[in-house]
Amino acid sequence: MNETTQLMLESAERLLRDACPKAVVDQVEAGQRPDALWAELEALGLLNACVPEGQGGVGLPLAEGLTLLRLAGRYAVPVPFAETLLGRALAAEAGLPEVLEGTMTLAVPGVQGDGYAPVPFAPWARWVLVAQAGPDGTVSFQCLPQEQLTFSEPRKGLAGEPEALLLGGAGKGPTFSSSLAPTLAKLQGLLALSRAVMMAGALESALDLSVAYALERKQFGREIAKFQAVQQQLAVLTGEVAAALRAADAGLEALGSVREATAWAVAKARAGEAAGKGAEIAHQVHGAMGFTHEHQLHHRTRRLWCWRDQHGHEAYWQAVLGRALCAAGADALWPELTGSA
Amino acid sequence: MATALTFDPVTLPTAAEALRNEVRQFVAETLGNEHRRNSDFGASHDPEFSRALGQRGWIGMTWPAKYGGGGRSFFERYVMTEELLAAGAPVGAHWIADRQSGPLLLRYGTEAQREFFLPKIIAGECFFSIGMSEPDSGSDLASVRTTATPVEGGWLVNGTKLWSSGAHRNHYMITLVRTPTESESRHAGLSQLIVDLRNSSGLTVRPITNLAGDAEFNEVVFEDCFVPADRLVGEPGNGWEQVTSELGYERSGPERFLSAFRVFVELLREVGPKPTDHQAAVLGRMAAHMMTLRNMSISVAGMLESNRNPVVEAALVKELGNNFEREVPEIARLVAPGGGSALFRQTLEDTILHAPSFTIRGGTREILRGMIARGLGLR
Ligand SMILES: Cc1cc2nc3c(=O)[nH]c(=O)nc-3n(C[C@H](O)[C@H](O)[C@H](O)COP(=O)(O)OP(=O)(O)OC[C@H]3O[C@@H](n4cnc5c(N)ncnc54)[C@H](O)[C@@H]3O)c2cc1C
Repeated sequence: MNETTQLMLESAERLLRDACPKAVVDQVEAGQRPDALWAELEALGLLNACVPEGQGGVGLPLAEGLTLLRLAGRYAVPVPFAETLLGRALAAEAGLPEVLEGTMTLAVPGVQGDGYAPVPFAPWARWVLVAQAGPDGTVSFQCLPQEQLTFSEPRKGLAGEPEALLLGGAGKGPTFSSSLAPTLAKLQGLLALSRAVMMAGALESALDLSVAYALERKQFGREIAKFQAVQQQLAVLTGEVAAALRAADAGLEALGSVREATAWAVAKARAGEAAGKGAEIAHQVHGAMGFTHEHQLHHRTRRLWCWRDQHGHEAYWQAVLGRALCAAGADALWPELTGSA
Repeated sequence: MATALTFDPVTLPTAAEALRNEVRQFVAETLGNEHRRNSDFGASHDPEFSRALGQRGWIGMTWPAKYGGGGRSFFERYVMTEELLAAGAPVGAHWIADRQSGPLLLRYGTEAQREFFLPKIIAGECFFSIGMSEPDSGSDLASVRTTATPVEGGWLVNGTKLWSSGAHRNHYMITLVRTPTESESRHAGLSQLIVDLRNSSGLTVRPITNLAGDAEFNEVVFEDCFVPADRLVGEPGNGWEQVTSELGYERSGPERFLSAFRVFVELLREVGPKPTDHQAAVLGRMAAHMMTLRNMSISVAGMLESNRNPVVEAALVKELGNNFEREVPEIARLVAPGGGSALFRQTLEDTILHAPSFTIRGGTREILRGMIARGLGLR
């Protein structure tokens, strides 16, 4: 990781600790836009992390900029962070200065070929980057003001954040393509990776909350952390978190290599599986308290349940991997797994 | 934040990747290309293969040149071992000597011990067993009761070791014993002795047949068994520190998630090029787990390379890896199309029969989880 990224992560963490407390996440889920939080994110330049310096951005490569999403997961940041971060990087390539301000979301065809995936934060977005797949698998983009498009009635997803279905709309604006995501498959892979990184961050936070709670909550005259059954469950949770983090990081490290598509499928599949198992254990350790709205655990676990399904759930990406292995054949399994074919 | 979660990225150096092809070629030449069964490090004893490996310089690869070692990195050893395991090569004979007895002697042994044992190990001609467990001491290793009493010129050992893998075939066993001490602590007064399994009197090795019908582990009974003074490893009383230092090496390697790998290979052959969606997802899930585990294991190799002692990280790799390798046969039997080949059935059944041991040997699942919990500050 380069030094700029390191510094950026540190200042982002400081900012989010203060600017994204539980109250802000609650407000968003109650239907209120987090304008103050957004302004702080903008002021620190986080959303322009992958916009070139010449265009007023920080100029980090995508693999570095996307590490910020781990913090978005850890702090349950209730804004279209991934969409704006990635969307601006794509739009900057087309040199569209006006869209580099204000919230951006992405309308992207769903992985299972069933039309556009629900658009996160659609009702609040100023810009919608609409991806259109060509018959040859390439993808082109239009960045349109939200009001030029028609959306379904917004609904709240599992994360409690608003989303809507893109119904249509004749937007006027230039059509462009991007070297960062020349194909639909690559765009969907990047988005899957973004969710894997976010899940890894949310899992880290769920583990920290669970350990802290186990050390604080007393029953039968001692901390529940002293019960071996609780210790064993937290150890299992730790394994899942460590695996999700490694898989997500490996996805980032692979960006730009011939192994990227495989690494992203692994990241989404493995982190998605960890999300389900991890949320279950974190809740069990928290008892009834974790089932309340007042406790912040659900801000992490509901996002885990939401993100594991976005841009392809585990079974989808597992099958992508599995089909490739079957096509390569049994004797190629080991070379395929180790990237040494 | 929980620090045990930091599995830093490691890219295998080019030297290691170059070695990969050499090992593949060696395996193809030495063992032929016919399909093989799992390479169980605890079961596949083949001294001839070990000697051939030794001749290639692939035992003691990381050890200093002055003992005949290769002076190479942990990453190169990593690649060499994972290639052998994945190919189903019979690595059992030299495995323990290469993985932990040699490194133990390098770290704590006397110069004379190093000069005597290491070149033989490196040549693939000297095999070691681990003598830790006893009838009444399994997970609670510090409770061992086998004693070593000082006598003229050495020690008299009395007691019983149990589950000592390969002791009926190997040359030496590093044996954990109680030596006299003033201290009350359970961890004090433990020492390690190198016992000659072939030329000692007062020593009886009895193979114990496992549920698969194989005799791989043993009961080793000591009755006034004399061990010369120069076979003590390290300081008397330092045994506990020494055995715990072996664990980072013992727990994080590729053998902790590859024990069922040939089932995966043969399952893929059974399923063929056109899987159902369900089969594809199940195979892909196994691949996602394996690639992530391998990544974590290589990261631990990086920690060993930079002289860190990643005890909790190693426990995490073993915990996740063992659970995975136990799952593989369970998955395979449910998604394989009917009427599998004889090789598939044999590999699968073999693995089902050995699977219960995966989460017991080298520290049980519960003990590993306890170590992870300690790393979290829960105990
Ligand atoms: C195939 C195989 C090869 C082996 N090879 C060797 C060898 O070469 N040399 C050698 O020295 N040993 C060897 N062992 C022994 C191995 O190290 C022990 O089996 C292991 O440490 C567990 O000890 P145990 O079997 O006595 O089980 P026990 O310790 O009796 O445990 C039984 C059960 O109780 C659980 N348990 C025990 N204590 C606790 C606790 N504090 N908290 C929660 N649960 C607990 C365990 O997790 C386990 O589920 C081998 C074992 C196997 C299966």
